[in-house]
Amino acid sequence: MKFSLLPLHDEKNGYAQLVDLHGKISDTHFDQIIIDMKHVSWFDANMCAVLGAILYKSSHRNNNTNRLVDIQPRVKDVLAKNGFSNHYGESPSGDYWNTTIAYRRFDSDPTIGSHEGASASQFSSTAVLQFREYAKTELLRNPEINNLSPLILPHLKRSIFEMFDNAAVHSNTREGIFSCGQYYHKKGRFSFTVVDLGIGIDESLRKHLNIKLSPEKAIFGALQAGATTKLRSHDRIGGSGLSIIREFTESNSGCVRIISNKGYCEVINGSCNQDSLSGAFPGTVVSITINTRTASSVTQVGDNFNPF
Amino acid sequence: MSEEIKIKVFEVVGDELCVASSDGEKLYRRIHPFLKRGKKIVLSFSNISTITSAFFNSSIAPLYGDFDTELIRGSIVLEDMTDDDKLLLKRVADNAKRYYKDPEAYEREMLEAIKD
Repeated sequence: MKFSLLPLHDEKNGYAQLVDLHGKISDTHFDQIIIDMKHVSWFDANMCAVLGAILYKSSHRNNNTNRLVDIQPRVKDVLAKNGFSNHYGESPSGDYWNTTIAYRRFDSDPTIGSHEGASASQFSSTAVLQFREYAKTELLRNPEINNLSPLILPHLKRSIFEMFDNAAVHSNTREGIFSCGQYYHKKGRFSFTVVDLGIGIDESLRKHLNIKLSPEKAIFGALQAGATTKLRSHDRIGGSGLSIIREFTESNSGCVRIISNKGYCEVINGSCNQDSLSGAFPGTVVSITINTRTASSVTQVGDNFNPF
Repeated sequence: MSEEIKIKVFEVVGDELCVASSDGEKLYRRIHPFLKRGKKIVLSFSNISTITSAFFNSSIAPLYGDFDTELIRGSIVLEDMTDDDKLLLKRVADNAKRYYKDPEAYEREMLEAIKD
C-alpha cells in the first residue's frame, strides 16, 4: 500500500496530514506501507517524532513493514542526521553543526514488558530515567544548546523534562514515547516534540475525573494550572507540567502545540487556538518552539523568601 | 536546640537532573523521618541543574499531608537553590497546601477550571 506525503511543517496542516496517514494505515495489516516522499520538499525535523510514532504503531500493532521512498536529497539529509531514517534502512550521517536532537523511541524496560499487564507506573519510571540519559547526551552536551542564554536554557531544560514526564505519567502508554528536536540557528528557533501512543487527554480526563469534554476542550483544560488526573488514583497532587510549558513559551514569544485524538490546540503569543482535526491521532503530541534570541523574563526573590 | 541534619539532594537522587517522580519519592522518604523527629533539615541543592514540578510534587508536596505548614516552614532550610527553582517550589507548595486543607474543595475548583 502506498501513500504520498506533502511538505511537512510543525503546524496544523502538518499534523492533519499525518493524522490522515494514520487513519489510512490503521486498517491495514500484514502489508508493506510505502511512504512516497517525492513531494516532500521540506520536513520539520522534530515532526519525525510524530511520523515515527505512527509508523511504529503500524508495525507494532498491525504487523506492517514501512518504507520511505523517493526522498529528496535535502530531506534525506535531515532524516539521516537525526537518525530517523536508520529505522527504515538508510545510513546515518554526521551532524557537523550540532543542530539536531536525535529521534528516539523510549520503550519500557524489557524485564517489565510492554504487554497489557505491565504496570504503567513501572513503564513511566523506566522511561523517565531513559529520557534523562538521552537528554544529557543530546541536549545538555550539545554546544549550540549550551550556548543559549542563561535566561532561556534552565527554562528550556525544565520544559523538556516536563513534556516527557507528562507523556510518561499521564498517557498510560505501553507502546512507547517518541522524541526529536531541531535547532534552527539562522532562524533563532529551537523546536522539540514529545509523542506518546497513549489514551489521549480527553480519555484520561474521562477515566480519572469522569469529565467528558471534546478532545480540543480537554487539551485546553489540561493547560490550566493545577489540572491533574492524579488526585483520585494516587491521592497526590500534580498538574503543573503543561501550564509551566505554556507559560515559558508565552514569555519567550514561542509556541506550544498539542494534538490529542481529534483535538488540536496551539498557544502562540498567549493566544490559544483550538480546533478539531478530521481524524484522530493515536495518542498525544506536545511540541514546543522557542525563540533562542528572546530571553524569558527574570523574577528574583529576596534572601528571606521562604517557598514553604 | 535540636540537631541540624544536612541532606544533599544530589546524593539522594544520584544525578544533577531531578526530573523523575521516583527520585522525588526517594527524597520524601529521606526527609520524612527527620521531620517526624522534630529535626531541622538543611536541604542542599548543590550541583543540581534541573528540577521539575513532578520532582517537587513527589518529594515536597506530600509533606503537607503529614505535617503542619508551620513545622515545614520552620524545619527546612534550602541551600544552593536558584530563584527559579524556589519559585517552582512555592508554586508546588501552595498547591499542596490548598489540596491537603480541603481535598474535595480543591478537586471541585480544579474541575471547574478544566471545564471552563
